Amino acid sequence: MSPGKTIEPLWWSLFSAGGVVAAFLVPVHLFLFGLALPLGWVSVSHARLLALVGHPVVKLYLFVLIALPLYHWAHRFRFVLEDLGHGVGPDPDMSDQLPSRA
Amino acid sequence: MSEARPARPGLYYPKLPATWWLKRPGYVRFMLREVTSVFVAIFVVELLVIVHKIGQGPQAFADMMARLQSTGCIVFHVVALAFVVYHTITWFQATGVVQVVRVGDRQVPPAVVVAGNYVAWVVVTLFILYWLLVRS
Repeated sequence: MSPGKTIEPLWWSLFSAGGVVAAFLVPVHLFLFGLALPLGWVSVSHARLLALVGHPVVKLYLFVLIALPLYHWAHRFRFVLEDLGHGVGPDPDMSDQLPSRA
Repeated sequence: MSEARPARPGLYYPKLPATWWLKRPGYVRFMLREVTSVFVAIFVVELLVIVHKIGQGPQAFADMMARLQSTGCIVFHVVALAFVVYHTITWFQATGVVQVVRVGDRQVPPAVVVAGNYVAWVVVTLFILYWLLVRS
């Protein structure tokens, strides 16, 4: 890679895609499976859920719904750790743009 | 990225106490926003477990739902729902700023982009509820 170019945009776009999926889809699933179904506000038969999760399109949907938000978390949480003082120094991408006496 | 970088002279190494984000309401909101990702991650792992339990059969799934009825789980999910909705709100706000939508030469005002996101969110949410609960 030429100087100044980094792979960072790829990581950032995965983070962003995960953020979009989390924003649009996670609340309704959390409401359903964390509150509405356990508390009996609604009911869905096991047979129907089994049929759904066996469907190829639903499998792909679940893959996107689970994998991308996990990446979103990993990227964001890494910077939480840095913000709390567990970083490893300045960002190497940034430090290349700063004047250095080294 | 994996090996520790040696300190280089001439670079600024910020040294802040771990509680710096408690100093201003804006910093607290920033940290809450970042922490929403933890609740997102915990829930999608839970969802993976639920899918696994569905595959194990009706009894395993019913047992899982029974465990989720405990007060601790319900309280956790109420808190987690608040955090993921906060993620949605802050994400849409950021989208309004970051994503420039143009119609012809004109830029669509960020407020309209944000409103469009909310409308899409409601539509998607209602569609999933309809698909899972009504349609059969």
